[in-house]
Amino acid sequence: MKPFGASGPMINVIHDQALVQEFIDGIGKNILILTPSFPYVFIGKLVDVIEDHAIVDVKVTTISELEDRQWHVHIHQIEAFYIQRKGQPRIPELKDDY
Amino acid sequence: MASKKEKDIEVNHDQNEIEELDDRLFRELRALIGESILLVTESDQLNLFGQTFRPIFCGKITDVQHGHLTLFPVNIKIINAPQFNFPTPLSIPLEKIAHFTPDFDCNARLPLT
Repeated sequence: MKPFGASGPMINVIHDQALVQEFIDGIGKNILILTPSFPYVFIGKLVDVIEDHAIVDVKVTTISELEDRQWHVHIHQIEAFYIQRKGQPRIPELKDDY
Repeated sequence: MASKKEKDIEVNHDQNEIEELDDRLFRELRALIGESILLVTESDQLNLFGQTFRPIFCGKITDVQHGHLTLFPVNIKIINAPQFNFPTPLSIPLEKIAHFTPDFDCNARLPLT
């Protein structure tokens, strides 16, 4: 599939597709997400990816009322993230530390 | 829901397409693995538990993939804690990078006003 033909827009599409693939590969792992939109931080388990939405079982965010529920997070809205892998640093229990 | 086989084929298809592409940015970034860079992302600000900060990240590139790069250790320039080191690696989607400059000393102090 070559949506635009030209290499410019094509590269952006590839970056976006590869990013979604990174999330698909991370299903089942703990994840931390920073996004410019409220509530800014999501920490929990990445349970699924539907199209370009990451489904996160959110344990910690900035507001306790929004915790302990599944959030659908648009992957292309995410500004920074960390998918915790074996042998890599653990996502801290941020609530107590901050 | 696609079967696993179908998914695998899809993934392989994507991989081939990616490999065919002459992605210069990807290759340039890969050549920078091990170096520290200063990187700014698109949004005006991010927020970490009540602390607002500009999305200015400085860190060592540990990994570069087609969709993102990973920094660790990574320093975030929070106003009241300009040398704050994030406790985990952070991955940045390539499409969110507004600008970056390679070979940057993360201990350098920047005015954040």
